[in-house]
Amino acid sequence: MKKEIKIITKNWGQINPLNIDEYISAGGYQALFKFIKEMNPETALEEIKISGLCGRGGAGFPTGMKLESVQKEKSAEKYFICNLDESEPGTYKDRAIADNDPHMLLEGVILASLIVGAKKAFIYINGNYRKQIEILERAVGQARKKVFIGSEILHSKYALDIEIFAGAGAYICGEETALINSIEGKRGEPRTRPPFPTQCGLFGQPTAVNNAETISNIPWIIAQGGAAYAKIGSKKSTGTKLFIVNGAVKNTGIVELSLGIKLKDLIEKHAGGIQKGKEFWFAQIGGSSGRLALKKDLDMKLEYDREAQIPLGSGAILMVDKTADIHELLLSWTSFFRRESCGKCVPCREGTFRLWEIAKRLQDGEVSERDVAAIQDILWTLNNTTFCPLGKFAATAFGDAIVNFKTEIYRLSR
Amino acid sequence: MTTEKILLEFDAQSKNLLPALRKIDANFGYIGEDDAQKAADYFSVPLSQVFETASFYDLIKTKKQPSLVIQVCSGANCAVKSAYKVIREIENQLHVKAGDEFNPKVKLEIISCLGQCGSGPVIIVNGNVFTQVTPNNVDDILRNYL
Amino acid sequence: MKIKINNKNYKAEEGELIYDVCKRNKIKIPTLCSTPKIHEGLCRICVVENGGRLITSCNTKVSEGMEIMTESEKISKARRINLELLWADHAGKCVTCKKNRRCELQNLAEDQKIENFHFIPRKEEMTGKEELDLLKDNRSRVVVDEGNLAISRTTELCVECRRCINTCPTKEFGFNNRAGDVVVGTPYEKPLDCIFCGQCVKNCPTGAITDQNNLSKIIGQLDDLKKMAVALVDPAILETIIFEQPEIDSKEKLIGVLEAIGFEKVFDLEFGMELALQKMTEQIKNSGKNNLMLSHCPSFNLFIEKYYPQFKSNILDVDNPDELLAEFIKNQYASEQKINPADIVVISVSSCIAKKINKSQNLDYVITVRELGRIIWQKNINLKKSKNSDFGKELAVKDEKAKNITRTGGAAEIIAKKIRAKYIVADGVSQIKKVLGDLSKNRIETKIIECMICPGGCVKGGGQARKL
Repeated sequence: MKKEIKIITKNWGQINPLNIDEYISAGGYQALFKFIKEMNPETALEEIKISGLCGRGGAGFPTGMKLESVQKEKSAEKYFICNLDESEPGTYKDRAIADNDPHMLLEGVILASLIVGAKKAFIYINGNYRKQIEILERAVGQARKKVFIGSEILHSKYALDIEIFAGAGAYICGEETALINSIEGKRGEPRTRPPFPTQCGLFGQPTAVNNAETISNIPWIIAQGGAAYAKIGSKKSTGTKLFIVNGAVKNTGIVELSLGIKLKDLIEKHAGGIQKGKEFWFAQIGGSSGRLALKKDLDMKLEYDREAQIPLGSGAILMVDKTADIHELLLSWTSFFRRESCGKCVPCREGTFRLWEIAKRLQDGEVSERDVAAIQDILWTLNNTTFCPLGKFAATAFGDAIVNFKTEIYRLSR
Repeated sequence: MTTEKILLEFDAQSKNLLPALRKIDANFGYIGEDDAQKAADYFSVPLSQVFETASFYDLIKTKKQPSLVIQVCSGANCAVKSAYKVIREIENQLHVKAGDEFNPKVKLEIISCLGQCGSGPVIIVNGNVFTQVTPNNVDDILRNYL
Repeated sequence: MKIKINNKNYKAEEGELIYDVCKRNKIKIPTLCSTPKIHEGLCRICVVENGGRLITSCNTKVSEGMEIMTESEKISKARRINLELLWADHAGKCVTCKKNRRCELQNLAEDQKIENFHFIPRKEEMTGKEELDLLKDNRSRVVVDEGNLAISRTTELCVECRRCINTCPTKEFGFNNRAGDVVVGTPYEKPLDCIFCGQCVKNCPTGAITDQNNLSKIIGQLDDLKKMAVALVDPAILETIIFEQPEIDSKEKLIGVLEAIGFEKVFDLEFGMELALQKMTEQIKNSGKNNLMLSHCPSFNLFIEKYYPQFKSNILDVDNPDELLAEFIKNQYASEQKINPADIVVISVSSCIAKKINKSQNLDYVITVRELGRIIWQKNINLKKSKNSDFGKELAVKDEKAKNITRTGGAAEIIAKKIRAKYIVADGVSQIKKVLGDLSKNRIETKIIECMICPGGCVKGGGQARKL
């Protein structure tokens, strides 16, 4: 088996994460030096575009394009925001980055900010990640001492200040515009688009919001070049990805692999295969908002592909075996969205609530004809009429389950 | 620490409203009406904005919490490891219903994923995190708090 | 630019909203959450189809070559399902609701022909345990506020349209909690204690926020043969009574209907407005002070009391027209006509809801146009057969211009002309705040200041009915 290249996890377990000198000795902050000495925001952006890097939070949007639209804006006040809100169930890769190599993340934040022309960057981090908040604050302090952040970075004309902003517990704040509202001291409700955050974002200024894992790729791309990055991964999506495998497999946890790997290879070769005595039922790809991959989908490639039937999402993979209680899963999915809907639009606020009530009735076997029709209508309105994509996320797993596991779901009902 | 002292640690800018509210909540266990009014005056926003913002987020409470608060993660990863059976067990042992907001002594809350999926099921009791909780070892954990 | 709506070409300007282009061209699109100024796209009722996708027309701008359908199977399905979802909290509650027959949600439900019990089990289908759970769920989030004399609230009937939040000039309401637990209400569920301008009551599409009233008591007084019920008619209400009862299209018709429901005498409030203008003019003429504030807007008086008490002494000491006329009726008129004032019940039909707050000796009740509409309906008056009538001649109005005080600036203009003085007018809370701010910094020196809380004046008051 070809040795997998390590971009993000290169230093994990090899250095003391909060020893900035160890990070530097391992090649850290070389990209920043290179940027300041030999490059400028336009040439650096070009490398990112060539690399083909796309969003690792789940949307898979081309990072170069997003950074370019902010770079192009003629505004004295621009912002860069690193999205570490990470509230998708089953996903804890960004937390692991902060634990194991906070400086790689910081270096990426600094580079991305300088590329778009932002003088202020925020790292919006999940409010539950108390330990990681402390780690990042200490790392920022260390970077400041070395003048990697400040009013004259490495004695250049570049200036940047980084602020760690702790979230307060709301999944919807992982959505760009809701995140921006949250920083502005408001409810974390999504905004109408257009205008897009790249033109009118934080405090009405051009803002780029990127996932923490996406950003952690930037130092490598700047140091080794975009073309080298583009050689890794698959044609549809370049580079590596942190996959998080959990559930009925022998080895659970995070593994960094080139994009394009087949689901069955991930399970067999890297997660030790399914646990002894258990039979594969389905795999949920991308967290609780993810689709269900059945036996026939085991051949699918795990990559960012706009036309894929089963999107990769955050890269979380939950292996579910035949002993799992489908009703408890339905309850888990529906209660999550019933709790996390922001509440402002009718279809999502009411739809997620009624779907959860139905999931409870399904568990008790008290479902009526009316409910069966209601499920179809709720799923339709969540998929087609909501204010933001959270509505679609709420309908995905339930919809797949109702289509594929009708007998098991209704087995208790009359 | 008084609320006034906490507020003075922040510049009166909108980006500091949420961090200030979190700090007040961390200090008192919740944000009451008087403290919310002080924050509203300090940041020059209406009290209705402070309350609607504070009440939106899980980590900020707007009323005094019971002395025993148990939170159980019900994310899919924990659910496949019997988190719901843990919830049922706690309900039976403490004679409370999950989600009941009206018990002055105990609150059993179902919460969203904490990112500890590798070591689920996860419960938090009065702010202390416990991992790999099963219906069998739940009473050992609760014993220390009863 | 050119866009296509329902396969026809239309012209549109850059930056125009789809909804506005349709309205201009008389293409109807139903809405629920939007007000004339604020469109958030929350209710999803105004959706139109663009390239197979459903988008909200109230907050989406047009673009060159856009092709829109305003009616389609998809659109009907979207409206039906979302209304049925909203209706799940309202099913079975119409009969006892104060807004029955005047409810925008009811109208939409009828238009879209929805099935009211789609998402909520009917009584026969529920198990005992379920029924209890459902009841507890519903009840646990319901907040009822009957703690003041003007505005009555219950969140049970709320559709979370946010109109009250958006139209409240002093930001009393917030969108509290999250997801299905969202409650539109005051911070910490404090009882409402505001300036009672009533814009929230006027704009609420359902029965969540309504006039605080005691209609059964009032109807009792109308029916009581031992009491002489006297109606004061605010000229402003003539503009909107037709929205409650389309047949009442003239002053004479209205007076005839008032007599039919039990009023012995109907007087023109303009008489009271004349009294108020006279008294205010007197006080201003005899006062050496400057920056004197007119006192006929009760909501403004509350506003000063609560937020700018330092200017309390600037306000003239003159009651509002309704109170002055009621006083006149129970004193001069009663003694002239040899009626015992204790037998007279004075009820003012007003465009103003804040007038309900003042406890006046002489003015017994204030009802809004909406409440009058409901009384007329409850008494089952045959509007086609009711006779026309006229105001009581005993209190004849001398100055036809006095009714101008129902528009912002009207009163100040009349008074200023009489005594040749300078004046400033502030229309709505933001303008008022600016004027008071300038006053605090001594940047204003004028004789008369008129401040009206409801933008546009009393004709746009919180007590007016709205076209549904």
